[in-house]
Amino acid sequence: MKEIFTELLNICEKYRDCHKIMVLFFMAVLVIFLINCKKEDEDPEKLPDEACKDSRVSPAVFVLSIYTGIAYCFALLLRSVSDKTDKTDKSDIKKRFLWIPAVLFLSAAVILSGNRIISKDYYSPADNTLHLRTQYVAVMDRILEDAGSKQVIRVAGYEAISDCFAVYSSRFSPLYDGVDKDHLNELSKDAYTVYEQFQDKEPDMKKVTDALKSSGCIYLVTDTDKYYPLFPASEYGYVLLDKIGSIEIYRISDETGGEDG
Amino acid sequence: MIYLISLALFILFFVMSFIAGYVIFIKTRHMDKSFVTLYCQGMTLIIVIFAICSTLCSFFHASVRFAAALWLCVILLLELVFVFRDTRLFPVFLKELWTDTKKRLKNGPLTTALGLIVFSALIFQILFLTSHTFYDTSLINGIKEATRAYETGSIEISSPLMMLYASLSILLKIHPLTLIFSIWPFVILPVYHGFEWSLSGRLFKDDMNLRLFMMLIFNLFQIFGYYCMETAGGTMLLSYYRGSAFLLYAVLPMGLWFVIRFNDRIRDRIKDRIKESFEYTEFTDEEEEDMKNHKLVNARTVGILLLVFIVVTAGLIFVLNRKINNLHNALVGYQSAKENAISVSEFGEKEGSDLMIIEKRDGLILIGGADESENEELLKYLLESDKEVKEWYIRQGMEKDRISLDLCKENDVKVDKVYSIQEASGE
Repeated sequence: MKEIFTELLNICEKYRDCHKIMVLFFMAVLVIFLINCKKEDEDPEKLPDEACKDSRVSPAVFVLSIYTGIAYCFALLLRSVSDKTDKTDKSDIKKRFLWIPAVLFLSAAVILSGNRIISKDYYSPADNTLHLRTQYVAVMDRILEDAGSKQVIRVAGYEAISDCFAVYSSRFSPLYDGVDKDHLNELSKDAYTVYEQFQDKEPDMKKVTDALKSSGCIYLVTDTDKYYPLFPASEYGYVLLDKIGSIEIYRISDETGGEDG
Repeated sequence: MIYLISLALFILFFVMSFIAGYVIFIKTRHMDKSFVTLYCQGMTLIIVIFAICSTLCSFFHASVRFAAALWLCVILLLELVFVFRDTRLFPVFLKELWTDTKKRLKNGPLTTALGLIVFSALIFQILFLTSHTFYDTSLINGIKEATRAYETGSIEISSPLMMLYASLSILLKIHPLTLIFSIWPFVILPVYHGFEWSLSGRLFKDDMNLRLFMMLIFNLFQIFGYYCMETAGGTMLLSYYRGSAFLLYAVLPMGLWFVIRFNDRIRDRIKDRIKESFEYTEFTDEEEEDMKNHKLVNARTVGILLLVFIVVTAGLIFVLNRKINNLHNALVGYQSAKENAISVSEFGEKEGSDLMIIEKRDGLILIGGADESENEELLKYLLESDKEVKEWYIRQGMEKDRISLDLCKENDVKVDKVYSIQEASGE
């Protein structure tokens, strides 16, 4: 039991930014519970077939997704609000519009609970139909051009561009990509060294180039706007092949690594 | 140009999906004549058919082109068989569908306004996705399988959806990234939203306003519901092209839709039986109360027991799985430590010797040098040792280190690499 609770605590810690959606989730579960309780209490004289029809409040929707489940529960809540009014009674006209604040309140609860996905914080206008930065595409094209007919191109770079290599062309064999920060121990020793160095603004190019040589990487890509190493990679057996915008492409020198790295 | 291709692909998929939806309608007799339901269910069916074709082809090492051709053949065959099996049935079905749809579209101004808001939200999301890029590139990593299949033609069994993108890219002669980010939202987002719409129809029957409200909340979650990176996999706008999103927003809703329909049918049968029995039997109030209590208690007890059982079993599996993984990792670590067995010792009889010998399974590492009186002994040790010296670290400015190294080299002791190191000042 202790282990289960420890694991649960770890999971809670991992998802701590999601606490607002959990509040909405528990609110939705409470709605289902209250509606079900109410249905049991009301009108015992009702015919079983009518009771059967009304009792369709199922938490099974949560199996699907938490969003669908909450949306369903909010709609149920709205139904229960609008059901309170007697539509034939003209004096009940004020109550008939109860659903307007209800809709506004429930919508506001959702809007304020999370972060807006469609925003400048997460998205930028696409440079091209590939949805990769044009600079990255130019860098990758330059490397492909330089590599000629070579089928496997060992390459390394900082995290953002490293993720794009294999996605752009299967000829690229990046040292690391799609790194899961919770499973850094799955990276090879060299990949981890390079990854770790590029987490710093001042990477130690000696360590980076040593790791690249040992793992047979021919190309190295860095960004002069993001990284300020004390000594550039050209000091450690790599030569500057090209510079596209702020991105520098280094290639292992023939003296150091030879053609096959 | 890209919008024209999107439109063409959407129309192609719509026609194929609609007829596939008709096949499901005929086979399951679900009686829900709605364009949205038919399109969504049909689309899921054709993608699942592709997944099967792709998996089968991967067993025979066939190319992705062959898988795509097989898929198109299977779909065409299936659809033609069902459309032409009874030539009168399909036109009648289309006519009825059109009449039903026209009836459904007649709504009040409030419903129309709400419907327009929901529809606009969907269009807005599609257009936004096709014109904007997400900053975090780590999410696109899975697409490399589609790129590999597109360039090499070989199928990977692990991700059928990526193979679908690869085949469509080959068909349209565009890069998979272009297909996924600039075209696919037009095709798949209406399907995901359509499933929610169909499901809301099952849950709220004829109440159009409630259905639209449910869709509005669902849309708000898609636009405003980004909580943390851990939930990115389930956030539609971030992962609509992934297999997990397809399972979550298409396969599961379709399954749940049929479960609810099955449940409704059983409920209707029970209702009929109760009605019949009420015509012949009259119970006293006490008997009715007793029956109600027993029914509730039994259903609740079974439900709670099941829930507890599931939670406990899941917990046990989780813990056991972790334990087994830890054990496995420990074993792997032990084996690798054993393979690289290491021992560290100072050379010589004197205490505080200047030469450190690290003995590894594959060689020796020497740091420093021996005293002049011990050089012969060191030479003898290295010549007799069955391991060669892989690395020797010479301290800068220490003459005896250099003498030891030279002596060994003169006597044919093989030293792989020699490094010169500077000793720390000790401050």
